[in-house]
Amino acid sequence: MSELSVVSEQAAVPFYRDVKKLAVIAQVVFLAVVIAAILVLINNVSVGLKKQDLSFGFGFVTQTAGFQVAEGTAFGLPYDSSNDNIIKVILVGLYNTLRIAIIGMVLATLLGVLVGIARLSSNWLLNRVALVYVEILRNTPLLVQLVVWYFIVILQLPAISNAQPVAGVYLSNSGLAMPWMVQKPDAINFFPFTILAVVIGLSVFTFFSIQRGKSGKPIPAGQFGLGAWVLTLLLSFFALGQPLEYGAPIRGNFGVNGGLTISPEFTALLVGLVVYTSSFIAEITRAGIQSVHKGQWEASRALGLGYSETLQLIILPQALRVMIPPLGNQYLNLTKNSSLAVAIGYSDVLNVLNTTGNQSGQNLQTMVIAGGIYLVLSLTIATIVNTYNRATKLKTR
Amino acid sequence: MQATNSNPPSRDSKWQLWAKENLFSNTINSILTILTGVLVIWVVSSLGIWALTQAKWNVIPANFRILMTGSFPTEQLWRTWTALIVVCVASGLHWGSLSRGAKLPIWTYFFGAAITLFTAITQVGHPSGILVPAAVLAVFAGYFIGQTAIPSRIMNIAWVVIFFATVLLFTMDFGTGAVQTKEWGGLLLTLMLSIVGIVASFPLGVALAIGRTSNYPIISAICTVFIEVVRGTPLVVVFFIAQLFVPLLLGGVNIDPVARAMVGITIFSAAYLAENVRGGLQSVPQGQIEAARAVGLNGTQTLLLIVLPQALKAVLPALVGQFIGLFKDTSLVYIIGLKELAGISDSIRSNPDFIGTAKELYFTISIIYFIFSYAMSSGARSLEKQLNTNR
Repeated sequence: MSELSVVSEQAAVPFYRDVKKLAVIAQVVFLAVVIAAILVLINNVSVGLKKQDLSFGFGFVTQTAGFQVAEGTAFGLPYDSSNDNIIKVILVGLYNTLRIAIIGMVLATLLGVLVGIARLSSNWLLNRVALVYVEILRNTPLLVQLVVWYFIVILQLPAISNAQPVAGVYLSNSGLAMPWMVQKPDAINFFPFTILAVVIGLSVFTFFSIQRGKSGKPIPAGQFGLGAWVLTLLLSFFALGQPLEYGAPIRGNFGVNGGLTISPEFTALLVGLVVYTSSFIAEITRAGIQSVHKGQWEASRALGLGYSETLQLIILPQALRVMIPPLGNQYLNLTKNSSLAVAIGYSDVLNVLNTTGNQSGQNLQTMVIAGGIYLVLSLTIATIVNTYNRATKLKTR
Repeated sequence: MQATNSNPPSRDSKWQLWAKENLFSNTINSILTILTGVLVIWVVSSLGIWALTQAKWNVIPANFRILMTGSFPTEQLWRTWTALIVVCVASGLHWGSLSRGAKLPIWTYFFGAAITLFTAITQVGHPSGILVPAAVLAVFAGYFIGQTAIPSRIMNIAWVVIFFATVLLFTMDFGTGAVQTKEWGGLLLTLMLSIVGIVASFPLGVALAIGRTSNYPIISAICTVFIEVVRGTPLVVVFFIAQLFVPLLLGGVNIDPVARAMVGITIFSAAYLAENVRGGLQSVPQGQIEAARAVGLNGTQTLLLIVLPQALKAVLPALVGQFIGLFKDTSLVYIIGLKELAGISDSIRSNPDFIGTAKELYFTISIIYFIFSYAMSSGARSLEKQLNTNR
């Protein structure tokens, strides 16, 4: 606020005309009102809780959970409903939420970018189909889409005993079963080596890209990094005596055994979230590509690069800069939208907390915990996206 | 791309040329066209076969009243009819006054005819059979009157009057008993939640945005914390918390679940709106503020007359996108047990008389959601064009 008081007569200015003092007064009054409102509300809550003989403590989280969770583990540790406490069951839910969110982000990005490129295709049919896809998905609620995927698509599939496998993959009303690498009992020893492989791959990549920058020679740093990662994985895999083995699903009397089975709830939620989010990512991709100047296309074609090379090497890297902030928002939305799992019974963190609340009668606290967990997740994703955005932002010197 | 003048005259017809250029320009394009074509034919034909031969469409007309208004008492339905007709007339007038001299697009006639035919044929003997066609007619009549007689400025005031009149219409007791909000359902509840959410969250969101961008550190900090906390929480959690906390926060005042859901959606939407409006506020050049102060406007006047109008205009598309999101998000109240469109469909399909009609129901409500969302986004596009002063 600009200073309007007359300098020569500062002493004569009363406080109600002094902008600086008014600012302080206004803020103090605002703060007082907010604090008073919060105090009144807290008082109301505590009086209300006392009336209902409830307390607002979080001690109940160490009690035994006492209910089954359909799928998932507490980040690798098995969950036993008769012994384990509520903290552990929340961890199982959190694991399920993270699982769906991370896989969903990757798949939604892939699908969304493809649809976005299709939207800009010179092929009339393809870009109309992409347009219809985007408009239908963006203009109907995710909840309805999820309900349709679960109750109308997945649960209407043939039972596992009648399902026809396609390339070893069974798609039935008890979910998706496909060949996968199955863990042997000592597979846990393999886990540190997967991390080691990533570290080695990244360091090789960094080393060679620095070399490339110094020497100016076209060293394929990306390929070297990838090679180092794969090599480390393979070496440790055979050194540990093959801790994973190939397993194909075999149909038994009660469902399938072997391979990887994905529950119908997970499948429906994943497909629903991926398809819904992809429609938004498609629009972001389209806007991003359109934001790249036409001259970039022309210059690239003039240098003799083909369509897909131009797209991959020239256009998408530049479009990505524009796309990162809105893409980050979509990742946030996807994570928060995964809470709609409640509607189709997937055991995500909110569903687990909701059940906990109903079982223990501590609904208020469990919902506050849920809010807190999602807040932390959101802030984490926002921080990662912002850091990445700052790193890839166009540097102007 | 093709240098048509240097080529010898083509023997292909116009359509063949078009197809060559847009569908079969090279091998990859041809393969893509064929693959997409097969996919389109497969989807359209299986959908068509299902819709024409297998679908049990009678579930929709049989439950028309329930889908539209839920368990709204039948003897009180005159309230919804009055509101519907008034809103239809007003929309027609407004639309007409905005598009003066323009012709009505052809699809509107088809759309109006489709609704009229559907209700007139399937709802014989019900009030809907007469009154829904009447409402469609009201839109068209309003449109043609509005084109000649009504200035669009009057309509802005009319909408405010209609809004409050409707609130009274739905809440007051006219001697025959009041309608409780818990009796609202179906499309009516979806629309009520959306409208109350939009109307209530708008001023709150603008206030939060102004607070966040203000120079007062304490006010700015409080608004920022509020916005970020709400934005970091999923709407389902906000609804759950609203259901549990609102009665406690108000000191045991018993407000019903619909009102609690309204509180939840308002707070949630306001936080997102605030971020959009903040973007607009920051896009207004500093010179505008300085110029306003130089001509003698005070801080409040500068904000209300100079900064806000420009800020809101700049972010109009984002605001409408936000409102469409809110409209779709009202479906989440299904999770806390309210019977809006998605919830009422769930109830109908578990009715023993209508077992196995999930596809028909969800197909229908998806179309309803689509129509409203699409109408909002195309309305926003024309409003944007109208407000664009850079033409």
